[in-house]
Amino acid sequence: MKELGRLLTAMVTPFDEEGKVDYEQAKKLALALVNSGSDGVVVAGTTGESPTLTREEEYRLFREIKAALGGRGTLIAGTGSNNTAEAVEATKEAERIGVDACLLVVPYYNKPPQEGLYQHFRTIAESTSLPCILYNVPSRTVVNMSAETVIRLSQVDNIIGVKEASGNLEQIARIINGTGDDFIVWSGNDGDTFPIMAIGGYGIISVASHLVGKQIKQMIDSFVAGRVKQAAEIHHHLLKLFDVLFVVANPIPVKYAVNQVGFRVGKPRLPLVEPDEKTATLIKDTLKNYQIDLPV
Amino acid sequence: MNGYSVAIVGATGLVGQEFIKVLLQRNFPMNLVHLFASDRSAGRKLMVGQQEIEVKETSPDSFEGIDIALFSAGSEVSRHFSPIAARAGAVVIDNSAAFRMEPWVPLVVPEVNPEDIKWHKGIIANPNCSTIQMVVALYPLHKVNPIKRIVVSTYQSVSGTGSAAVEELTVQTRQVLEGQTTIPHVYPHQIAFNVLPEIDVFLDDGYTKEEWKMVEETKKIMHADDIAISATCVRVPVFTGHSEAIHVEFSSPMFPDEAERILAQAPGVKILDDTSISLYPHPWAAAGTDEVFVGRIRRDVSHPNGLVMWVVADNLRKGAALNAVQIAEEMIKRDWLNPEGGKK
Repeated sequence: MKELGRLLTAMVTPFDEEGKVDYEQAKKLALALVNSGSDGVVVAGTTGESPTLTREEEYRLFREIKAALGGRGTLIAGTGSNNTAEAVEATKEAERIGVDACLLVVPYYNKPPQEGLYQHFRTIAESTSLPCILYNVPSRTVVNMSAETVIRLSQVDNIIGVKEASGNLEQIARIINGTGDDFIVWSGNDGDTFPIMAIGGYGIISVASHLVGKQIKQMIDSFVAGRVKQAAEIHHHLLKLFDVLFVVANPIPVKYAVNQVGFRVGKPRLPLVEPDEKTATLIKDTLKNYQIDLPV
Repeated sequence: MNGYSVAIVGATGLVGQEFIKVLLQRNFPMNLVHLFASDRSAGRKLMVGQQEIEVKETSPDSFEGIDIALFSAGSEVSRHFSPIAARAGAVVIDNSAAFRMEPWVPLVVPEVNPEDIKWHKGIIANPNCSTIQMVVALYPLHKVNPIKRIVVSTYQSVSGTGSAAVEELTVQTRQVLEGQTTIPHVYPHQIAFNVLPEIDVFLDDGYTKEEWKMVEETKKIMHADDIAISATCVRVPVFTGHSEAIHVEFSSPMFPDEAERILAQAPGVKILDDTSISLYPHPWAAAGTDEVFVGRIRRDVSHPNGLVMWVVADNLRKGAALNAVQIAEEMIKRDWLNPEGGKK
């Protein structure tokens, strides 16, 4: 399997003034990210506003970004759904387009039991030869996928890892402990990257790496090289930024911030809106304390 | 005045750093150096000789009082700020591709077409690195026996791409040796232990932009529109120094010893050619030097008027910073600072 990388960016989807997907900016952004620390991008994930993208827009994003990247970095497609059949279809299409892997979110809203989660992910994985990454984010999906369910799913050949955003370090430790060495755990929260790596995690599917990719990469590289103190220092330095990017629903703050530093990605689509004045000021003031790695 | 005010735009880049080195090494007559870069690098301090100078963000008022502005910050920055600098009275010597093919902008290699400096309108373009070393080696031969056709393959180092590419080659080399897999960031594929036939973007005719530059820039510099040229440009895992295998067809036969005699007298050229002791140019030895090195001079056995040679130069020096500074020196020597027909 192709190495997917330790630092992947959950990429925002740029929109133009009329709210249409700005494919040119999307291609530029993907390249800019891969040139500023990220090993790859996750396209049409929650940060990419998948709930308000049409499948056609998502497929075109996969195609155009794949072409723009060439062989640079890795391209991971968000193809999850709370409708198993739809997720199967999107994953098959992403495979035809030639992405490197897919990210499958826990079904939201319909609250499946653990057995339902197991069958859902197994069904999707068996419909494709793409490497599949599970995504557990109970703050958004209501249901938490238990360590037991993840361990069971890790037995499926092409389920290669999980993006864990539960913030539950005990659960994450049990996953790492109960799965094989080649099963990969990415943090799903920027603030959890360092602690998750400390218990055997692999990396991060990040939002903050839009802005400080090189610094996050440096934190990861330092940790892997055994320079734990240096990694911890970078973690502490970046924590405030990590927090601010989630003061209101992601991707509202990061989109605002990326626009602020001079890379045009437009406003979010409804029902998301731009941050109110107070939040905007907070984001702007916070950005002043950080060196921005994104080339603009 | 005992010296000129010089601005370096893109001072923190690889070529920017080389500008500083070359200016100092050649005792360029300057009394003040101003360093500019993007706001990301602004505030950094760089040593220029014994002096510590702060890098400032490039802005429209950066060029007041500047005599000579050396640009190497990419085409977009050049397109935006070069005309502003020229209007403010500076002569811009631009290392980017932004103005090279503009008919009103001279494209200059001092060993080949110094007189083109004279008609500048405030902006002089510095050619592409791989073009410079080729024309320095070919022009002296062309003057004696006009060239009809050139077929060239290049072996270009990663420093031509910038510091991120140097870092990428370093990291990937270590990863490969340690048995890890690599993820390309700068190039479309792994560059360590590999060669990539893609430099700059692909064009509709199947050539790359770099290959196109070698064709069009060579014709413009040599004032020779009718030379037929075809290039293949290849990135190799070398840090510094571009190499070129050049096949040339002349109007009449050009024998190797004659070519060697001509090139031995040619400005900026050094011949390293003794196959009995494995003497020929190679990038490791050429890095950090100023000359264009020529070796492996031999007949092209596939054509009666053909000659083949191997040409190597430091792409950051003769291929970029040095050539630009030489343009400035030539301009000063011949008193061509003021744009032709205009007043400062």
